[in-house]
Amino acid sequence: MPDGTGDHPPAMVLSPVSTSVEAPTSTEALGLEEHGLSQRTLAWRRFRRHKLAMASLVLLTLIALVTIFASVIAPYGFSEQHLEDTLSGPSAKHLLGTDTLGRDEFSRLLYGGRVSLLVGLGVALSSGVLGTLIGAAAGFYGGRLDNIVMRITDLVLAIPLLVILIIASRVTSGGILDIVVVLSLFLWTPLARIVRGLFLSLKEKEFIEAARMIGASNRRIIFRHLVPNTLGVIIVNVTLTVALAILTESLLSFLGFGIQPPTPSWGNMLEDGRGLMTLAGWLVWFPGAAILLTVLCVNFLGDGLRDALDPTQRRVRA
Amino acid sequence: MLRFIVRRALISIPLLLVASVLVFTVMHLTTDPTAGLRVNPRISAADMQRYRHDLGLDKSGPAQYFAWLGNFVQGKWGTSLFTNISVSAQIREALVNSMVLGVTGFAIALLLGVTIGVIAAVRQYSVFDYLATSGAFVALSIPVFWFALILQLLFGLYLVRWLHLPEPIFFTAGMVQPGSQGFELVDRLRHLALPAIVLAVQLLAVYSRYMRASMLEVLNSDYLRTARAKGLRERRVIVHHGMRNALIPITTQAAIDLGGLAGGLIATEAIFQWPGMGALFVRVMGDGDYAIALPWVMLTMAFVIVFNLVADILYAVLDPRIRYA
Repeated sequence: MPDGTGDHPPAMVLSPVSTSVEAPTSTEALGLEEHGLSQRTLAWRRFRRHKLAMASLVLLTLIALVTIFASVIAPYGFSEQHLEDTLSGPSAKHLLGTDTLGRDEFSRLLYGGRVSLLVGLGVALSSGVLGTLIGAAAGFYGGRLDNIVMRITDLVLAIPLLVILIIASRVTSGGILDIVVVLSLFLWTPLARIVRGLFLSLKEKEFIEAARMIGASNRRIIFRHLVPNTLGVIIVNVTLTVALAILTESLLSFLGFGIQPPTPSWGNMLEDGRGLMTLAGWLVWFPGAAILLTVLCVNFLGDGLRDALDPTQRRVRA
Repeated sequence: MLRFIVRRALISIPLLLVASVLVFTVMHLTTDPTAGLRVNPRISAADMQRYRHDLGLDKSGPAQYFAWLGNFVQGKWGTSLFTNISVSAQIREALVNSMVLGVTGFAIALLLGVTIGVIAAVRQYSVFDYLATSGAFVALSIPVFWFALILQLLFGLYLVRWLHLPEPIFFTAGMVQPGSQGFELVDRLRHLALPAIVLAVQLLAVYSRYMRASMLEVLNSDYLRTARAKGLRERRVIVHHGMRNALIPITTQAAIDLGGLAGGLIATEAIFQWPGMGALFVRVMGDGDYAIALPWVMLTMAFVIVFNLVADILYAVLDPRIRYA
């Protein structure tokens, strides 16, 4: 940004398609050519056209259902030991094999998926709400508040995310809620910056002036006029945050700073299997593939949502 | 421009101070370096007192902080809490190792990323373009540490087994072969290859997407049509008129990434036992050795801040339309 307030290029490196350097200005011109259809219908139409995103949505729903009903589907409990079958490869009895403690890898994978999805969704939602509110307030009211918020985001951006999280993990106890809170506390900043930028440009637009003219309160202008106009961008970013949160949680757990055993998470399952991977490759292949598949689906979903909700953004089609 | 640089540099100082207070507080609240000694019955209370005094633990929190800050600013980084090894020596060694790994991976990623991005843009919607895009999607979705483990399995086990090799093509741990003497370039490179690939793949995905997007924008611009209308050869149009301008956004991104490399690669270094900054950080955070962790964070942050500034300056230098006040 030419104003020299210390803006960085987009921090969402993980959004594969968000390669445009400048944030989109608005979504108001949405679908002017196609008459008579609601915005939602138009967005849904555009989304449906993105086949990969549709397939990802189906697959993600499936993954979510399977992990939600883990206790029904899983043949064994996640800490149930079968000492006669320790470290056995995939078989009919143990679909994905067992680990050194004789625990069924398939069952652990299902329960571990719960953790990953819970963390992903929890972090995306809470950091999404935080980022939107803080970014909106900073962009709309400007002045001192804006300055403080921007300095905080500077601070968060100046320390690598993983470093902050590892330091923060010293104060937490390694439960799911702890991880969600800690991740959310630091992942709201990219969205806040984006929302702030959008608000800065949108609040100068005529329709806001008009709203002010008829006496709308600040609150009404923010939530009724500005937020809906940035919703597309927010949803896309929140979706991509799900992917980032799942990856980050698994990495933290892998390094031993995240979810603590015996609760299985895909990350700490990989850490468990790592030392034995030359003997028991399945302990490494399956949890990692599960993360990859989930994150890939989320990223495709985000891409489809971008096409559907954010048509003003310069499109770089996948 | 100079005013802009000075102002930005001045803003960074409180940023670093705030970060140091936060990290200091968290580390001091959660670590007691004498905890291990206290359970030892052979250490007398007087010795304990003396030891705590040496570490400055008998002073108040703020007093400890300012004592630390004073020493830190003067370059007296002291020794590790648990061993008597000098902090600056450890950090310097780790930084050099991280930079070797980081710059190698970074250079590979930049070269390949620019090439792939340009080809993908010039041949938009070709098979190559689709492959590059799908590859980037997978690379951005793959857990880095898992990718590293799979590479270890592939090179350390599967390839050796399938091809009946006497030893792996690329080694899966460490920087040199244990017991080797002196500097052997080939041996070093065989150790460097896998971690560098892990880093390169991550950056490559980002750079190729960036380059493709900015190249597409340039390709659709008027001045490119002008260049073609003048009768320039296509190659010259693409490379001289197109690529040169399309490189601007990626230059700034690359500068920012370069700053981040100082912190090392936490997961990759841990997995490949590469004695760099990332591995050092994981180790000292596990021990709670804040004597190393604090300067580590300060140094890493300083690199990020400086290279962000460099990115902004580069942007203005390369793109005359950008003016900083």
